Parts: sequence; structure tokens; C-alpha cells
Amino acid sequence: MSFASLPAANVLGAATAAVQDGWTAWVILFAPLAAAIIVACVPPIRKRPLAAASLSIAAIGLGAFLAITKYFLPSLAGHAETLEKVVTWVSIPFGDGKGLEIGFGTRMDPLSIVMMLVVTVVGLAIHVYSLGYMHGDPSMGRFYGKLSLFVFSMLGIVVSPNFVQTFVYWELVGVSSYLLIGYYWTKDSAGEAAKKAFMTNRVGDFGFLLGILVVWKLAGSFDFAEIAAKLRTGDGYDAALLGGTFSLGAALVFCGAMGKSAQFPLHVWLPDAMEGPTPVSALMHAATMVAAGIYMIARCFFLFEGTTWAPTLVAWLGGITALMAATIAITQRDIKKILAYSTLSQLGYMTLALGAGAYTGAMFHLTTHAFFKALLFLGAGSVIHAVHSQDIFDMGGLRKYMPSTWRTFLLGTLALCGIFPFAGFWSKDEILSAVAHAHHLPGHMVLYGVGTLVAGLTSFYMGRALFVTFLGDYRGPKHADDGHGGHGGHGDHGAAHEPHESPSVMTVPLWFLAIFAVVIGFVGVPGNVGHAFGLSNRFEHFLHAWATAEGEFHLNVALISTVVAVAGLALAWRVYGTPAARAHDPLPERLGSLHRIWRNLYYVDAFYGFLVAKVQQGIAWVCWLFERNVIIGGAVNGTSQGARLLGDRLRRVQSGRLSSYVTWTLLGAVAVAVAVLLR
Amino acid sequence: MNLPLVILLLPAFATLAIFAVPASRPQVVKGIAFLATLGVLVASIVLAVTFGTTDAPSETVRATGHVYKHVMTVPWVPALGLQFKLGVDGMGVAMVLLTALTIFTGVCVSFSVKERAKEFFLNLLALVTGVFGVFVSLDLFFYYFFYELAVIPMFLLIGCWGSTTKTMSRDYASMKLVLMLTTGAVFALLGLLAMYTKAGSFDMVRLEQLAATGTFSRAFQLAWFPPVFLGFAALVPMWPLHSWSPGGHAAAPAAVSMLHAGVLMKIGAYGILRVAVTYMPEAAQVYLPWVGVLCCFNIVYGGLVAMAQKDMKFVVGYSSSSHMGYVLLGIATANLIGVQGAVYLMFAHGVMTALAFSLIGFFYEQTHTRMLDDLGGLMKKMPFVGTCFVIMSMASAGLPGFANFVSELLVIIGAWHAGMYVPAILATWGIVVTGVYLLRTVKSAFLGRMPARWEGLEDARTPFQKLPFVLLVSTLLLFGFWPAPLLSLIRQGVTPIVASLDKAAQKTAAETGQR
Repeated sequence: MSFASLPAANVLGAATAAVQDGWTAWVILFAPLAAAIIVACVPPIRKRPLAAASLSIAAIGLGAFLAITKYFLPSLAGHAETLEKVVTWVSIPFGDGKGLEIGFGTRMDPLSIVMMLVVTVVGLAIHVYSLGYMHGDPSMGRFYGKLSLFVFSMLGIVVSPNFVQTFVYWELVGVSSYLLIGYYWTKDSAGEAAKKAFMTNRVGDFGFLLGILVVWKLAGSFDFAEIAAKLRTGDGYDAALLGGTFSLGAALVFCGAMGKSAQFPLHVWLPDAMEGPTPVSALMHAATMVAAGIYMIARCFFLFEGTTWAPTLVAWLGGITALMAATIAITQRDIKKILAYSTLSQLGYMTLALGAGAYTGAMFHLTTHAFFKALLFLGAGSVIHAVHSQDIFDMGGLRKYMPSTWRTFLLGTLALCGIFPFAGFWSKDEILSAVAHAHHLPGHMVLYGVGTLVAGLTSFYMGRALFVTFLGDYRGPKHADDGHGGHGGHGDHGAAHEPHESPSVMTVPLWFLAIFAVVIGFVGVPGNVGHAFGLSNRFEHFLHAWATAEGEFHLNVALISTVVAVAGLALAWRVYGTPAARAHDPLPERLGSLHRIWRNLYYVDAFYGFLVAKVQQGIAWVCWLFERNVIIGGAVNGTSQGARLLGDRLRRVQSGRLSSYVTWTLLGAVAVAVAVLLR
Repeated sequence: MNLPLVILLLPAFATLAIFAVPASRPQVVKGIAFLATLGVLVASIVLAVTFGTTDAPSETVRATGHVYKHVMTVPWVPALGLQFKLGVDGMGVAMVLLTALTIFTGVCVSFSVKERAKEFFLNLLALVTGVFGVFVSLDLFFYYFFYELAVIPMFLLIGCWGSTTKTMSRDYASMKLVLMLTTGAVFALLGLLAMYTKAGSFDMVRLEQLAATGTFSRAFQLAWFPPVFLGFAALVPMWPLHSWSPGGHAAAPAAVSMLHAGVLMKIGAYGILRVAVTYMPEAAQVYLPWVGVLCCFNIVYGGLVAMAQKDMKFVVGYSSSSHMGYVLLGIATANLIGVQGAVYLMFAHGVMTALAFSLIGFFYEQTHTRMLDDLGGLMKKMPFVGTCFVIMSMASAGLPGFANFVSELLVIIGAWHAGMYVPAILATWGIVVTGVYLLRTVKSAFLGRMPARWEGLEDARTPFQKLPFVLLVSTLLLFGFWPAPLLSLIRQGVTPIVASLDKAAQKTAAETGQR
């Protein structure tokens, strides 16, 4: 590694100089890329798990440190200005205007600072946790290289000042997701899941790119600030610019978010993405990557705020996703799948909030969710690491064996269920309040009802997961695993007689995230209750540059949702409070055909499977038949056969027989004579 | 010294030198080919890097301000106005660079050719001499001559060193390729001769000047644009004239597929821009919207057919004809964004497809099958080649970070700017289709469980084996991250073409206005 340390020193020197010159965001952005490249291209580092891991952790740690010290703390102190460092990437001058200009760079404002903090801080915890989780995996270097590539791509979206750069990194996030879902590439299901995730996102990006083009054509720019300036006239929006086409553009842009944030009808990839290693699920498919869609919509909120029907579409799709995913989550047995559908459902909340115009509410829930959902996933990872199974009905009683995991998982569950005063309470409540009072939104009370119902369902499925996994007695194969060799996909370390707590490299990140899950909600306590306790809504004030209206605390909304959440937990206890229920899930019998529909994911996946395997492949086959029989077989070979046939006929004329020549000559003479005579 | 001449003569002399080497010394043959193509690559890079600043003799088309640099003229048959004239503009330089890169890497991967190595390299270098000739000629006669020069060795290379599969023999593939290409070329030739008789010159600079000052009437253009265009379009290949290309790719040996898909198809697009559109812009304005329709068939139909293929080379082959649809779409936009995107894509697609065929060739030599059903899990034995293949697929699927993304983005933006909404939407959908069949290919060949019979496969181990792949991947990444230099190079060449198209459109609009 000695030869790698020299360039490393240079890189560090350059980075320090860049930070001093105000290019900090570039350093934060490119540090993970540098780590990924070094891991990929320097075999001695790639082959040493610890070297690769420490490089990746250093890169994201540096990012977290710089983001806090250079952006977050100064902006808290009141220097929250928008800092842009953008260079021209592609420029094609033409016509009388400036032509086509695409910039590349970083734009730091409160919104991107919040998101950057979430990505780097949660990411750092997960990077450290992975050290324990991936322990013993021979290709850990590859894992960390890909993880760093992901962090780079995600940060690229966060700092992006324009649509094209967002799209570029959007796609890169898709690639790193593809690579990480397919990490266990010898497994067929992993390869399929990676492909599915990539392609579903691609379908969303198809709309996204078209949306970008629509907006570009109307506004003449890709730059967020320039488009916003073009749309804003004085206090409001330019109504003439925001005609029907603009709504179409906004809706198409939302397609991108629909793919990445897994909203109905493009939600199918996220649960399958759980084929990746659990830390990946935590980082990408729960905390950060799937939040990219929400972030992107928040970033170009000006498109939605003024348009007519796009927000309604967004809100309703969000509501549908929330309800659909929550009901499916109830029927899952795989602990990661439960959390995956829960993530879908929570993303639905955020989307609903965006559609209702509660942009700070969505960002607030994104932030709190990132912490507690990462916590829950890592907790699930810790459990899987201990019992080598993902089925919650194989577990049970883990409270005794894994006290740290149990306690942190409990805190995460309470936060997710929205129990006062944990983080989820504040953020979910803000969304529900906003929806309840979004009078401009058609059917807002229905959506509010859906949101409240989903809160109850959330408590129910989380209570189910918690009780079945951690309470009672251990039901797993205590002595079955008597052999020596480790098998199973990940970090097996010999035969485990009974489950035991994970090493501290895993539990410390759990506690770190658990603390956030408890307290992070307080940064966004609504102003009207906060003042009574000397708290102000710091989160909203921080985002003030974009926020339009402050969220308010409504006691009735909070009470209803709390009662519903507690009721959900109570119901879960009623159903799963007995050992018999924990050994054998009673839900299928009780719910009957409803359960069958939910268990089969509303048949959406089956329908898409049919579309891809039968319809799409059928069309491809029809094209291929046409190609083979009409174009090649008919036109091309037909032409050549025609020429051959013609040549064959003409050849017979020159038979070499004198008699035949004489006959032809005579016939010709007669023909000429007839022709002449007839004239 | 005239750089285009050097680039043209190096492979020509190498061909002659190989002719003199006894067939029993294949190592010498390979050494000559390697050194000659390395020299060509270096010269091309120098040509590209110094193009903006060079003070080599140049010639300017007065009417359009189009500058050709490194111009050299040798009279040949003065009575007929024939001359040997070389020179390049930015677009030509980009194509020369692409060709040099492809042939150098092609020679590197052909070191494993054992059967009649001398004749193989002889033909390969003769072929590439013709290709370089097309890109550096400034005289239509030699332009055509070099083009025909390239086709003959192609016939031999596929016919003698190609592979025969259950569905198609190499004889059929090579015969079809040559017949379709020469038929196309004959149509183009008719048009070239018509222009010659009208203008009295084969000199391309002079022709451009005459065209810009109205020598070719509207009626003349409307009559002769179709044959010239179709002649080149068959080479692109435009749907439905494309069926020679996937078969040709599939039957050809690796290096020939690389040149064939990487460069030869670009000669068609280059000819459309350099000859058909430049000399007959008014007719181009009339016919290009139809090209905008046909190219959608290329993109979507080509992609769908690729989806139904089981032979990897056919997948990439139909994928090529799908991607060339984007080039045609870029040309059809007739604006600066789209046409630049088209030329950028000619470069990017050339590099990407050379990478694809070199990789397929690498494992085909060991597996002797390219059928997706037979392969699987090759990543286990070939991590390096497998990784490169994934990178290639990502580039081909238009992922950012690769040159292909920049060009496809520009083409789509250009189409949108030109108001060609439906083709733009289909082109965007085409990117999704590309993703489907390439990821499927990656998955069935490289991921999943590996059949036991591939245990003996070997990865690219030595630096020399890795060199071509590394070179091509880094080129894609370089111009994907930093498109400015190549874009400005291309812009130098296409700006006059787009300007003449604009002028033609204004003229037509003015005439219809008067009426």
C-alpha cells in the first residue's frame, strides 16, 4: 500500500486547498468517488477488506464532518446563503440566445444541506455497521467500493443545481443500486431483482427525461433557479406559463420520483431489492436513495406549487401507495420485506404531503424516517446475522439474547408508529395536519382518512414484527446447526447454537441511530405548541427560503392519529400476544380472501410479469418473425432468388444448339415483320 | 509533414510490408501490424489534439466559411479534373480518431488469430486503409475509390475467417453484405456522377462552394438526393435496408466485427452529412422529415428484434442498428444540437461497439458458443472481462458517465427542439428497450450459476490482453465526463452543414412566401 499513500497525500492536500477556496461541496461530492476508484483500481486495497472499508468510511466521514462544520453550523448561525460553484459542462451556442447550456456543479442551500446531512450521517453509521455485518465476506472490498460509488451518486443529486445533472446522478444512483442489489450475483434471484429495480427505474426515468424536455422547451433552461425565476412574477406564479403543458411537464418529472421513490404503479422493485445485503437495504432502499424522489420534487417544488392538476395526481398516488403497501406489509413473514413495504408506505406519506403542498412536512418526515428506518433495518440485519433466517416466525424470544438490538428496535418501532414524543409522531402529524387542511386538494378528507388508517396499519404490522421476533421463546433451530462449515450468503461465522448479540461495531451504530430516532422530531415541533416550551420549529425556519406556510399543530389531528396508532399496537398484541399465534400466523385464516389479495401484492407484480414475459416478449418475437420472414426471407433473399431465377431462364436461351438458335432467329424475324406490317 | 497522409500511408505500407513477409513468420506480421496501427493511433491523437491550433495548409469554402485543414493536393488526371486531395475538418478528425482507436485495439485482440495470420492482417490493414481514405479524402473520386477498397477485404475477411452458426453461414453473410453495400454504393455513384457533370469537378471543397452558391437547382437536388442518400443509408444501415449488418457482424471475426460495426457503418452517416446534406441542403430539408420517421423503426424495431435474439452477436448487431437510428434522428433534426449529437454518437457508438465485439470475441475463442442459453455465471471465471462487459452494457444503455449518454441526450434534446416530439419520445423509450435486452444478456451470460463445463475458462490476465479493453473503456469514460473538447472539434465540422440547412429552409420559406 506504500505506493498508494503518496497520491493519497496529494489528494488530501488538494482537498484542503479546495475547501479553503470555497469548493467544499465538491470535496464532499468527490471524496467517495475517489475512494471508489482507488478500491476498484488498486488490487492490494480491494483485496484487503479493512483497507477498502477504512477508505470508504474515511470518505463519507470526511463528508459528514465538512457538511456539519462548513455548511450546517454556519447556516444555523445565520449565514445561510445559497452557495453555487458551477462550471459549464456542455455548451452549444446557436441562434440569438445563449443556446444550450448545461452546467455541472454544486448548489448549497438549506434544502441540500439537510439532505446532505441525512445522507452522510446515516450513511456513516451504516458504513461502520457494515464492518461487522460483512465480516468474513471475501469480496468486502468490492462491497465498499460500490457503497462509495452510491454515496457519490446520491450526493450528486443532493448538490445538483440543474435538471440534467440531477438526471445524470439519478441514473448513477440507479446503477449503484443495480450493482448492490446484485451483490450476491451467483444467486439467480439477486440478478433478477437487480434487473427489475434497474428497469422499473428506467421506465420512470423515461417520463422524467421527457418531463425535463417539456420544462426546458417552456422555460428555456435546465437550471432550477433560472426556471423558478422565469415562473415567478412578483409574489405568485406566471399563470400564462403554467398552462396545461406545464402541468404535463410536472407530472412527467414526477414519473422519475415515482420510479426512485417507488410509488404506485412503479413500486414493485423496492421489496425485491431486499436481495441486497441488509446494510444496503438500510442505506439505499430505506433511508437515502428512495428519498431521492421526494427530495427532487421538493427541489423543483415551484413546478408543482403553481400547476393545476399535477399536485392532485401526486397526492393521490402517494395515498394509494401508502395504503397499498401498509396492507401488504401485514401479510409478510420476511422481516426485511415487512420493513420494505413499510418504507413504501412511508414514502407514500411523503408523496401525499408533497401533493398537499406541505413541502417542509415531506422533508421533515424524510429526515426522521431516514434515521428510524435505517435503525430498523440495521436491527433486522443484526437479527438476521444472529439467527440466519429472515422469517419472523422462525425467531422469537430474541429479547433475551440480543438486548441492545431489542431496545433499539423497540425505539425505532415506536418512532415509526408515531407514538408521542418519538420522531415519527411529529413528522407524521405534520403531514396529516397538512392534508386535513389542504382545501384546494380534491378529496383531501378522504386522503386524510387514508393517512390515519395507514397510521393504524403501521402500528399493527410493526407490533406484529416486534412481538413475534423478540417476545416469547426462541423457536429457531437451536441445535440443528451443529456442523462446522459456515453456509448461507453472508458473514457466517461457524455454527451458532443459539442467537447472540452482534458485536459492538454493529450495536454502536444502532444506538447512535436510536438516539436520533428519539430526539430528531424535536427539531420540527410546530411553532404554536413549541413556543410554550421554548422550542421553535427550527426545521421549518431552516428551510424558510422555500417554505410557503408553516405547519401548525392541531390537537384533534394529533389525538386521533395517536389513538389509532395505539389501537394498532394493541390489536397486534391481541393477535400475537399468545405463543401459539407467534408460532403459527393466525392472520391468513382470520382475513380470508383479503389476505390472499394482500399476500399476492394485489397481483400487480404478477400482472407486470405477464406484461414483460408475455406481451413484451411476444411483440419482440413478432418483430423477429417479420424480420426473418419478410425482410430477410422475403425482400432480401427474394431479390437474390429472383435474380438467380431470371439468370437461370436467360441462360437457357444460350443452349448451344444450332437448331434452337435458328428457331429463335426465325421467330424474331417473324415478330419484326408482323410489327412492321401492323404499323 | 501532412498528418492525414501519414495516417493513410502507414497502414498502406504495412500492408505491403506484410505481403513481403513469409507466411511462416506470423510473429513478424503481427509486430508490423501492431507498430503500424500504434503509429496511426499516435498520429491521430496528435491530429485531434493540435487541430484547433495547427497552422498546416488549410482551405476555406468561401460561401460557408467551412475550414478544411491539413490540405494537400496532387494532380492526377488533369484532363478529367481528377486529383488526389487530402484534408480534414473537425468531423473528419473525430472519425479518424475513432478508426485509429478501433484498428489498434482490433489488431491487439487479433493476436490470437492462428489460421493464415499473414493473409488476415494483410486484409485487415488493407480494409482500414480504405476506411482512412474515406475520412481524409477531399475528392469525390478517391472518396468513392477508398470506399470500394474497404469492401473487398471485408468480403474476404468474413468469408475466410468468419464463423458459421446453425442459422447462418459465413458465405451467406459475406455475400449479402457485399452485394447490399455495393448496390447501395452504385446508387450513390450515380448521384456523384450527376453532380460531377453538373459542376464539372470532383473537388469536394469546390463542390461545397458551388453548392452553397446555387449551382444545384432545387429540381436537381430533389431528383438526386434520394439515390445518394439511400446509397449511404444502406450502409448506416437505415431500416429496412439493415439486414446485412447484424448477420455480417455475427459472422465476422472479432476484429472485423469491431471495424465493421465501429467504423464502417459510420462511413454511411458520414457520407450522408458530407455529401448528400452538404451538397443538396434544399432536398435534405424536404426529405429529412421522412428520415425522422424511418429512424424510429431503427430504434424501436431494432431494439425489439434484439430482444428476441439468443446469439450474443446478434443481440449486439441489432442493437447497433437500433443505435444508428439515433444517429439518423440526430441528422434529421437538422439543428446544431441534434447533428452534433449524431456525430458524437457516431464516435461513442463506434468505441462502445468495438468494445462489445472485442469482449465477445475474447470469450468466444474459448467457449466456441455465443448462445445465451449455453452460457451463464462467466463472471466467476472472467471477472475482468465480465466487468468490462457490464460497463459496455451500461454505456450502450445510455448511462451517464459514458460518451453515449452525452450524444443520445443531445440527439433527443435536438429532436425536441426541432419539434419532432414523437421521434423524441420513441427515442427515449428506445433507451428503456436497450436496457431490457442488455441487462438480460448480462444476466444470462455473466451472472447466476456457471455450468461446470466453463471451469477451464481464462480471464484476460496479462497487461497486453487487458490493454484494448482498458483503452476503449477509458475513452468512453473520458468523453462521457468531459465532452467539451470532442464536441468543439465536431462543432467545427458540422456548423457549416447546419448553417446551409438553415439557409435552405429560409430560402424555401421565402419562395413559398412569394408564391
